[in-house]
Amino acid sequence: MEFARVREFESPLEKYLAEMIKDWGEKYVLPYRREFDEDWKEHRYVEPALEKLMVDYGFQIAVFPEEFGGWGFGNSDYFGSVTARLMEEIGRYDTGIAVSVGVTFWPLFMITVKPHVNYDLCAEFSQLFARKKLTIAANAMTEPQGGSDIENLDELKGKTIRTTAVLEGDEWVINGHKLWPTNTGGVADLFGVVCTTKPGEADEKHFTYIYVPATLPGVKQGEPYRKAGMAADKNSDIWFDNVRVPKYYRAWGEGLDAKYFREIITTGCLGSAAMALGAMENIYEILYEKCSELRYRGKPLKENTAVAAVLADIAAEIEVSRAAVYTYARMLDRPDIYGERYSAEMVARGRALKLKVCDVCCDVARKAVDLLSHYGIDRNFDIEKHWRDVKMIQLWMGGRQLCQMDVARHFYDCKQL
Amino acid sequence: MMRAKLDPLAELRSDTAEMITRSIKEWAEKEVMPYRHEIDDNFEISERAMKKLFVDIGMQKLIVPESAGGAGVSFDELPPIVYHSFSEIGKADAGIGFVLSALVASSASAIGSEAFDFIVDRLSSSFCRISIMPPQFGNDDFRGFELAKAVEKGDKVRIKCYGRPLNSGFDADVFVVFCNYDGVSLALLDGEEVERGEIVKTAGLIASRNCDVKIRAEVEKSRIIKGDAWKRLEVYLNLCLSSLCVGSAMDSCRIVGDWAEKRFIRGKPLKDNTVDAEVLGEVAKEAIEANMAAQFLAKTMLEDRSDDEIHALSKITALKCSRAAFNVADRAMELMASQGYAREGLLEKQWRDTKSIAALLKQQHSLLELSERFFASKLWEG
Repeated sequence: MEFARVREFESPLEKYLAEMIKDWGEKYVLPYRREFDEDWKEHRYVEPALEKLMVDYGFQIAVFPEEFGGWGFGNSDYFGSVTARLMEEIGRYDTGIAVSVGVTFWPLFMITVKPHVNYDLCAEFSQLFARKKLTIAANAMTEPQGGSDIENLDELKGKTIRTTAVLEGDEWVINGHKLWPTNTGGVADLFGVVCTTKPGEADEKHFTYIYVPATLPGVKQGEPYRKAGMAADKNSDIWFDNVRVPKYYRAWGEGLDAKYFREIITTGCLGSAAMALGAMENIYEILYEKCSELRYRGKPLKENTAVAAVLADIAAEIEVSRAAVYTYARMLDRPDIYGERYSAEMVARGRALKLKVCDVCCDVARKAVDLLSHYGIDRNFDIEKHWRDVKMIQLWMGGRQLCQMDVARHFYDCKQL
Repeated sequence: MMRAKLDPLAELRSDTAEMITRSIKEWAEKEVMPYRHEIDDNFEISERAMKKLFVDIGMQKLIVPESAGGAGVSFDELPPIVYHSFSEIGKADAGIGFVLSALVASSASAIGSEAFDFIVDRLSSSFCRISIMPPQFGNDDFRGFELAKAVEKGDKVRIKCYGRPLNSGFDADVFVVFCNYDGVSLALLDGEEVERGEIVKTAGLIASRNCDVKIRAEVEKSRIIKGDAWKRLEVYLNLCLSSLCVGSAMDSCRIVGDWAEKRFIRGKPLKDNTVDAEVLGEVAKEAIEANMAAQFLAKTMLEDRSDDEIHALSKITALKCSRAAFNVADRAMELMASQGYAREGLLEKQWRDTKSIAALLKQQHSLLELSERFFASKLWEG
């Protein structure tokens, strides 16, 4: 069953992307998905699946422009739609892998997406991602003292950032401590690090985004955290202790780093909503099968009106969520019509999308668990895995509260939040 | 921290309940809290803690007569004791409380029946777990579900069923099976009479190792409990689970309360920001409402009310308390974000455990039963 989608807006690439991911997911994820939870630390099952997708299917280099061996989707008129489709389709199989893939692209969006393609850095880092070896990136934002304050750019303007970047000659010297980035715990090869050149100062010109290869002296990653779910996504502490990188590893420069970093928020919100959508669709698929098999009151479960009503609510939520996700994706495709992706308006719309779709997704997963009762909490039925995993999507990037504040600021013109 | 406490209703205060609660607090501090981070990964910790709680503290022998080494608690004393003790256990480990719930509810259902001796014998001898085999998804011979088949064979009854117990299917020493014998009855089976599958991995309640079971057994008629015993079982199960969820909700409040004091945002503790304070307020409201509901049920069970009335009330209370405990953990997690989701934070365990309880209570089906009672819906006729 296909949920709502405006077909005439579908990009030429999407269909093939979806087919590739389906092929990959059926072969390399589904047979091992139930092992992922115990595999949270070693990634003996997760890493081969990720490697297959990123290296063998070639997704790793996809975001770079064609002249650097990439697929150039950052330069296309379908940047948002392709990002959404990618996250949706991977999310059907595992949202942990979806976020791992998404977060590999995430820091690279700062330098690979038009109109801000940094050709020097593309030349530098495309070599890393063109290798026939799994190569992963991470976005090091959150810090111990301020949580997701760093993303709260409009209000705090980088004031709470404590990771410092000091320019010494032709090198940036970075010091600081980050928490929880996806793809850490020894996974990432390259970090995009949010720093400040003047701690305590609320001025976006001090907001600095610098790339740091994980192998440099002074970079230390901690052990991965154990979590309720999302086992395919490793998170840990990272310490930067007098780490030196070339001056040109800064993404753009004063003011521009903060400006384009807002696209990290818009794309993060889109990706989060899209992978949540994928999880909901898989929940629907499982419910379709199980509610046809299990019998209640002498009929298949789905043929009972009370159950059918809940199933209908779930389908309706997915239908509307999919329409919303692709509407926003299409808006990101066309900055010429809807404004720059880093504009306050697009950030607020993205926050609204993430807030709503994640709430809906958690609710859908909760209802699905309840419907199947003791099979709902059974790990062999896969629904409870989605239920545990999707909660994390709702919580990251500042969770509900930061989304609410950004939305209120834009839609109600709040000045003092 | 939550500053305000809700003192128990006067009817629920008793010296015995206080004494047991003190013992459970000590048990939790010694046997559970130091190991809480690893309890879901290492079943031996749960097993050891359960043995201490069930045998050494004597929770499995609450209703066993004093002559047989039990506490000999009567129906007049049991509800307050259940409320106090399970709400204390819920603060420590809902999974362990879940296993005990099935035992207390099953043994309460047997009081006054011929099968009581069978239960007392098992509960008196050594560490014992009782598994409840509820009606299964399948045919519509009992309110939408399928009862185990019970066929008389001479002076015995042959019990036949396949499916998944509510709890502890893998470890139980005794099974209490809902069967179709002279209406709805409970058949008590020795664990040895049950064929068990592999342990099922579940989202929470890890102390309750469950599996699918296959039952083809012949039992003496004295091991069948007829009449409304199944309702009494469900009433006590609902009281146990409601109280357990109250404890869990209180623990989640404690965890998020600590976090909201220590975590600063915009120069103020989290709790002093209105957007976060609103969530804390909701969390407190849910927990206190659940506590009030569980107390009301325990109090009502001491009154002279009809079985049907108490049965319906217990269902409402269990639905209310399980949802509330889950909502408390769920919303608290939203405030704590990654820290709430991390295993080390302990909130996520309450989140998984209470969601599991809520799911096992068959939410939609329970609402249909309530509709039948309060609106005379004819859902299972014809």
